[in-house]
Amino acid sequence: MIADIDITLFEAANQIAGRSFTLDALMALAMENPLVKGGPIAACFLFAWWYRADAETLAKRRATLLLTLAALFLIAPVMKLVSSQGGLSPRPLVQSERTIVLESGALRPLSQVAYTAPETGLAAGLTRGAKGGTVAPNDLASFPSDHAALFAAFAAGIFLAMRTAGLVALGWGVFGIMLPRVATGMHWPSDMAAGALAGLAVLAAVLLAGRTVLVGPVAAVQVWAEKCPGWTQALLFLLLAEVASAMGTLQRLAELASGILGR
Amino acid sequence: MRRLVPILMAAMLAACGGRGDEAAIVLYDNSFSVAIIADNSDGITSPDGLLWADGVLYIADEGGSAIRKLEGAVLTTLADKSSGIISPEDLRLSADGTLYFTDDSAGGLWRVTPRGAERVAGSEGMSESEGIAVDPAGGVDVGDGASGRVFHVSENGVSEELIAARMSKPESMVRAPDGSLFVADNRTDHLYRFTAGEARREIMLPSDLSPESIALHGSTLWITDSSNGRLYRMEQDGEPETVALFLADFANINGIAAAPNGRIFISIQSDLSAGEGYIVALSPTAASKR
Repeated sequence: MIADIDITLFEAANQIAGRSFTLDALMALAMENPLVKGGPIAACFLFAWWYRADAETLAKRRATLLLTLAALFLIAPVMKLVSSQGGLSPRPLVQSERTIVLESGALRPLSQVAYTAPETGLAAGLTRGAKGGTVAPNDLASFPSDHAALFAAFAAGIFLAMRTAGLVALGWGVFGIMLPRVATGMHWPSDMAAGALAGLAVLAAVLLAGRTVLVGPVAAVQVWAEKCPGWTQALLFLLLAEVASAMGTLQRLAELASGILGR
Repeated sequence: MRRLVPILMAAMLAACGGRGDEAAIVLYDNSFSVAIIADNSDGITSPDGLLWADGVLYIADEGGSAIRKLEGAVLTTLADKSSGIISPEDLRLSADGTLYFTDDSAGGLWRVTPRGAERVAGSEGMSESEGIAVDPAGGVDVGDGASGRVFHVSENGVSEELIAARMSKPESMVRAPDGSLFVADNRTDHLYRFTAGEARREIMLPSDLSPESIALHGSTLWITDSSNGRLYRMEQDGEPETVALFLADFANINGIAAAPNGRIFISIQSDLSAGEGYIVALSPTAASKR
């Protein structure tokens, strides 16, 4: 039932792919370029951080934003753990071929989906690979979506801090980040829903901690930020750039560290 | 908020329920269906070489140091490590019904006897015996992974170098009906065809094809590529065509056998050290038979 709804929603979203090179190129840009992908949401964060308000409102808002930022850096390891618990979930672009998975010792054919590949971008390359007999392990683990987890939590945190900036961030999260990933066959709608749910759960846990056990540390960071606006701005820039790239640098560093330690 | 956190956490855990296991096959040819015909629960471990003859599937069970046969659903062990077998690699049946096999750890050429198995030719010069093919003129040809040479072993166990040309690792060999010998070199990723008089012709393969095992069905050569998990089909003088892609725990596809009815059997070593593996069969569908 859920799988049928997933396929129906996917096939509907995929209608926009492969029809216009310009649209495909724009979707590829939104999916692959860190500035376009996460930049608008990072800009919303900074807007909310600096937008004038009375001292009490500003303090509450910045506390929420700080906790949101902290939650984002917890999401990547949590998602790694979550995805390691699930079975294989081929991307839609893989499932456009006849795919059979091993489940409880028996082979089960998956529904073959009608799929139109975009003309350009990562999904176009992966589709060519899948048609030619190359499927990377990552293309069998689409569930849940890391991007949906990260950017849903990012946008929701901004929304909780400041409604207007949050609405813009949520809008970009849905139409600029999630929709292209579904439309181009990188993810199923359920990957997005589960990812967003996981991200929101982490955010909620961190916000709850921020109002209980982390009240002191959050207040201390805010006092330091008031005293050192230059350092604060520089650090925010670096952290937000990292989030906008979906933690690309940290993942690379983790791979390097694991490679060095494994030698 | 206090209520929301556990609800979201529970929903997240519920969403993590498995959607599949850790292996998959992408089938590019719709004229085949695929099924598992044996796994660890049937008594095999990590199979390597396969041979189909007269309704029987012979299995070089590398992980279990055994030679077995699967007849219908009945698995029988023909020889095991008590005979000195270590890593049986590939196997062939001679015209007189003798089942010969190679062993890339024990070396030499072996044959199955009513009491287990015995070595036909010693490991000297063949310390890592790999590919095997029956010579229609008598005897058996054996490829050695250590020296890169191909030997001919006569019925009385005398071995001599068959092909002057050295290869690196003649992993798999098969005789064509015309007597020519196909040899897959798994270390340098080359495929050769030797015709009478030792004329060697290299069959051009894509740069990303690493031939592990080969089998002939009519004029069609079937190739497993364990490095990339791909099963190829190749018509004479044609280009290799990907028939199926084996992924995750299925990626290490090894041996291959073709039955006269077009069924293709493939052995999979999911984890050789843990003795885990499968044998799957690709069967032509009813539509393709018509």
